Amino acid sequence: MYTPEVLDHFRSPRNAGALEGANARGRAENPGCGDEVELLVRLEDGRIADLRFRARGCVATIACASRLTELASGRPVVEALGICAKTIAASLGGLPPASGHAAALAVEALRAALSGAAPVPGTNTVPG
Amino acid sequence: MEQAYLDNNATAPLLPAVFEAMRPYFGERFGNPSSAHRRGREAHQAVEEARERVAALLGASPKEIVFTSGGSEGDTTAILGLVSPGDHVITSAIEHHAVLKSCKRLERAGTEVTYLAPDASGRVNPAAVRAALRPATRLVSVMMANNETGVLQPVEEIGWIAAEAGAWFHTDAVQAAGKVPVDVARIGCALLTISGHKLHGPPGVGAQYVRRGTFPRPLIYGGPQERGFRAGTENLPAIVGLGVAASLSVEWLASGAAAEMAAQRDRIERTVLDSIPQSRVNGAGAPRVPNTTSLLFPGISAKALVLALDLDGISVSTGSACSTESSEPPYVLRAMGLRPEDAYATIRCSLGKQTTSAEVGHFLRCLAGAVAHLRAISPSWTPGSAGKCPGA
Repeated sequence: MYTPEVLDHFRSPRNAGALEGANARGRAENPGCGDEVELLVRLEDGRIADLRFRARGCVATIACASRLTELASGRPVVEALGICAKTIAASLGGLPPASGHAAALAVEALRAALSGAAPVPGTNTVPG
Repeated sequence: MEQAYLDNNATAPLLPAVFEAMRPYFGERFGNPSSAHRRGREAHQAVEEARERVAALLGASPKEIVFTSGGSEGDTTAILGLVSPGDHVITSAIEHHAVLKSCKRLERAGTEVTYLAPDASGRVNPAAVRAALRPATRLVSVMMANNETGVLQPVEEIGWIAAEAGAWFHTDAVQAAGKVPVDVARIGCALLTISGHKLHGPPGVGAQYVRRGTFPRPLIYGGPQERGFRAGTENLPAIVGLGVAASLSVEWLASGAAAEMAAQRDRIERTVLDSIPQSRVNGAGAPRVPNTTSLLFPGISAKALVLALDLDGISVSTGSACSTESSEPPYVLRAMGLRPEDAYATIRCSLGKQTTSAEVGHFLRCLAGAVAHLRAISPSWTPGSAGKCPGA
């Protein structure tokens, strides 16, 4: 049902938890199933210097948020904004049809974090 | 890898003795019970013997037992078979979908339906049934045990209330039969539904108790099988299996094994409450069947927990098996007043007659770690800050 990549991210989530010095935060929730993703980002000079996720949701939601942190880490904001649900799903070897929303939720959280109008680095610290 | 099957409310595996009893009827003992020749007569005899066995489980007369394809058929027949447009029906908000969706169909056809909410412990109040009665009330349908919480409903009291009002009483006993004693005379029901695979019999077969003098309209028309209540050539091997499963249930109940099962259930609950912060047992305050526990772990998604446990060889569920494909929060828990996030954070464990202490131990060893793993990455879990939950 789930690919080995999805299960691997579920079992060993990458970049999960709090982030010291985060200066942007994005959150997305799927009211239809209760799943929730939160991203904490440290932006430096227009790039994603570091980021962490927290998620409460199904296996796919956790795996997609985890994978997204790998895809976005170190990228310029403009590039990170180009990451779409399909990219995440493909990089995980695909998602079951019923789990398509999970990748979209992760993307929504990232865009919410980045559209926070890229605050001046270091001036808008969000506690982890 | 160690395994633990704790989803017996979804389906309870065939007992070996049931399988052995069924086996000849797939082969040398084939026959159509309606045929006049020897094979037919022997098949007929096997069906009637199974009928006696099922009647004994329910305290009924064999003439009051109708074989069906299972619980959904029984529930649907009960709801659609006795009511006409203009009638009023009382049921509860925590029934199986077979009852609820049949009621929705009645509503579209001009029947009014009252859906009673349970109290916070998951129990329907008989006084609420009485208060909902109207002169047009024709049918009351309240389940005997809930599939998600295991909470036993006060069906004897509700049966009396329905009888006093001159309404039919139907109870879905699918999750009760084989786990607690069922006596149709004490319940005072006109119709009672059971399913084969919930009591370690085969799937695809069930039985309906139809009290003498009750004539629900059939769902399936055709030959004169089952005295016209249910047409179609009998599912001979399955009926034989259901009969043996019913007899084994009678023996199991008489042996006192239910108390041992309840002790296993209590061991799970005690360990969970002691070792996992802020965990709760839904419906803990109400009388329950001995095999079911509904465990709430604030801050996590039950869907993820079910999969995490699955990776450890453990089978539990998020709610009723019928709702797994749906992303709606479990409606039974919502009707009991749980917040959506708590309903989404609840798993159901259901023991079976073959569940071993080792299986329970494996589950308990893996559970705390799995919950901790999911809470560690959850944005809605902050240890210690959530305070005491009501009912904790």
